[in-house]
Amino acid sequence: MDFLKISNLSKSYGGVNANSDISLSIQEGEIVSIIGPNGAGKTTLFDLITGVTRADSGSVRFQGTEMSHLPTSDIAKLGVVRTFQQTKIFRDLTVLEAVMIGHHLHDSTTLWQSLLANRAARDQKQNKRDHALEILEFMGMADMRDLITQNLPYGEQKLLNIAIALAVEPKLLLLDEPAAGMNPMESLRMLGTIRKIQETGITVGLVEHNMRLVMNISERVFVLDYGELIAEGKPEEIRANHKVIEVYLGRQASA
Amino acid sequence: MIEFIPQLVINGIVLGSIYVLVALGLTLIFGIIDVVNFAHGEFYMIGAFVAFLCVSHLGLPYPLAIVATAVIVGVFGLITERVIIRSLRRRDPHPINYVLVTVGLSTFLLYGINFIFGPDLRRIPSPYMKQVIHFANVYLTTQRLLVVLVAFLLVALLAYFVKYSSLGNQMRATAQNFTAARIVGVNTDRVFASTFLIGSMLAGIAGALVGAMFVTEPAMGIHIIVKAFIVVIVGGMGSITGSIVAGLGLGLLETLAGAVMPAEFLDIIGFSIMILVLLTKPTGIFGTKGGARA
Amino acid sequence: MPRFAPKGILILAALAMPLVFNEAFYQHIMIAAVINVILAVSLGIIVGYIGELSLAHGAFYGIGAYTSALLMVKLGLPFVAAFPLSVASAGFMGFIIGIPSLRLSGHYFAIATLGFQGIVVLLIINLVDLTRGPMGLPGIPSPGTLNLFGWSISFGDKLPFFYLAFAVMIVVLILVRNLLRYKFGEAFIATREDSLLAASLGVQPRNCRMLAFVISTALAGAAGSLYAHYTMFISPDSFTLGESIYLVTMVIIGGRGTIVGPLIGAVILTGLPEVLRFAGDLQFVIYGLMLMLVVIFLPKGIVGLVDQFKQRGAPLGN
Repeated sequence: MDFLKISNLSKSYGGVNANSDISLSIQEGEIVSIIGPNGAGKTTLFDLITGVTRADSGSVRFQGTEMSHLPTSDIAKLGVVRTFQQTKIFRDLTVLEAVMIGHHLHDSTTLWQSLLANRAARDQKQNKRDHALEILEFMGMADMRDLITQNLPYGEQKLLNIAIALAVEPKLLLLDEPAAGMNPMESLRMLGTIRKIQETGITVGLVEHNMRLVMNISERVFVLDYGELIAEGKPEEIRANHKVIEVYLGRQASA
Repeated sequence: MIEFIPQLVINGIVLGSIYVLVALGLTLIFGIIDVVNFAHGEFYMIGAFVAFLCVSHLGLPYPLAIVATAVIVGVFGLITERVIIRSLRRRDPHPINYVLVTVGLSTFLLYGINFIFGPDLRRIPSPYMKQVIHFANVYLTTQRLLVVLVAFLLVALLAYFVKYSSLGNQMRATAQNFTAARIVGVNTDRVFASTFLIGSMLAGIAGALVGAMFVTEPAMGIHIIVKAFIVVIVGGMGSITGSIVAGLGLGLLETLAGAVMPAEFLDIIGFSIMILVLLTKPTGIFGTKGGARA
Repeated sequence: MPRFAPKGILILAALAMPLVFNEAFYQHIMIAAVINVILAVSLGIIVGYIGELSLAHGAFYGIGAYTSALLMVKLGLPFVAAFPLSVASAGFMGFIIGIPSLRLSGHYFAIATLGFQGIVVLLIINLVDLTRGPMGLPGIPSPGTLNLFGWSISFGDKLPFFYLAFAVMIVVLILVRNLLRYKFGEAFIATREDSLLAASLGVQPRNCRMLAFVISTALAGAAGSLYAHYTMFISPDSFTLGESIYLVTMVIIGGRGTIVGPLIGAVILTGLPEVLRFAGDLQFVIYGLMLMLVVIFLPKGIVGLVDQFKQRGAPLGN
């Protein structure tokens, strides 16, 4: 069974086809990238998968479960988590507190336990803390745990987004432009981080413009243009694909 | 009973005209600046007091007093935008903050005027209250006729202005898409200031008219603002047509239904209609702005 | 236990105050302050932790007061039954009103609550057979007398009532702190900051908002019950939009997003009117001005101001 199977997914906004009849599958344990010029519909695809927007037609199946009309929080419960492009989230919290929020689904504290602040509640909170610290260690951010998120530099904020998503313990992690705005050194670090994430057993899907990162890390690449899937395959195949080259030479290429 | 209906209809149109004038300012400010001005009722109230002072203390003729009121309250609105709204815009422009700041302004103005003038009821002496027109079972003071005429004239002027003038076009552009408007060079600061100026002016004129027709008192702002909200929500935030239709509609509804049921029930109906609209089509009957859903 | 010391001292001081200032006038202010703390802190859950502005808190305060009063006056229930029932009824009404309202946000939500505030007051005024309308409801009994170790404590007296109200307030503060410290507080903050992001983490924004709203209105009902059995006469005038605005002002000036903020705001805005009583209406002019200044220059209120001098405050009660 395909880990994530997207079939004939379509979404249009007032006459503009953001996604047209897209079909693709992701296998468990892979790292795949979705590339394409600006406006190709990459973020829309993520939005459709994670329930941020509802598709006009088509289906999204994750481990066999149909997700296309589930609300975003249910999709997260199934194990599909995404990051967003914006930074500056949870402004007034510390890095540690922000990551702890990601662990929400695994916190079994009931309302009663919370109100009474009994042992169960405190244990759960301590668990969350420990788990969050582990993630921060994993991401190499442990020394930043008491910093206020809005004071973090840009690169670290992107890493924080990922740390928070990891706290949900996803099976499929969808990263929306994780390397956007990064210099080569930061991108390299991001590459290493993504690889480490894959090694823990998480399947990763990326939307990216940074071609070096994409070509280096992906096992397979999907290319979107004007809402359609125009090519898919291994990075070398995509690099040599005429249609893809045309799409990128004819428009503004990045990286 | 039937013979009263023409009278009630005329009264309804008069009342509706007031609602339209007040709601117009509120809906423009919301549509263009995305600010809900809780102090709008106080601009109306200040308009009444300014006109009152002009007539009783400065001895100006009533029509001149209305013009003076328009100017003074307009400037007042301008100052509010420049000082208060703009400061907030530069710092923490969350929608709720605008509500809070205008609630604060409303409290400030209401109790300020109450402190200065006391809560007594006054009435602006207007020559038009003494002349009565009579036709077909309907009695109408010329003051009431004036209200309708002024409202009609101002609405027409506003519509013309918004559609054909350069500033009007800029206002519409800003209302549709703030960022795009800035990109094409619209001076949004100036648009915002003008919007507050115009909106407050309309409210002030309404106050000057009502202050002669019914009463001038510090609390009059609170009574009108609730009605204005109902009109703006039902008609559509940002829609001039909506304010006209909903304003006249509310005026007629209140007058006609008010003949058969007590006033408090009317208010409950008004609130309920507003809430119903908020839940089903928060942009109102004619509105097109989005962003209401949680 | 050094960590508890500052709070402990404050609590002891607060408990001692009505004994030190034992004129009825001062004790009345302290009781009013305690009730306002409950109101402000509960409103603070919505304003500070969900990030929405409710202009209907006065109405829920009134629902609690009238429910409690009517249960004791008309059905002869004892206070220990009327109190929890009025908490439940205010919470229930919060649920009913929340179902439609919480689908909205920002100014639309505020306006919807404005509408409900108006409707509730109008209903209280108009259901004269039940509530005696604008004439108000007199003869509300006090919480009764307690016979302990041969002593008879009457809660109709100010001093015992103060301690009763104070105890309720402490319980409320502890419950609210606990609520916000664990799972739910984080969910509220996540929902407030970015409900889409929160959903992507598995938080259910709609349920969060409803939970917060219902708890908030239920606590307002508790305050209402206390108020009714203290003043023994209630009328719709105490539960109007003006009251809602007054409560909002407390939360904002004290500092939204914390528990302490609304508490400070409540104490200040209860005490200040007494100090400024000579100024008449001018004091409201000052409150309006304060609200404007705080929103523009001190978005975190007094708590924020204090924070600028010390470590970051504790939004999660950590």
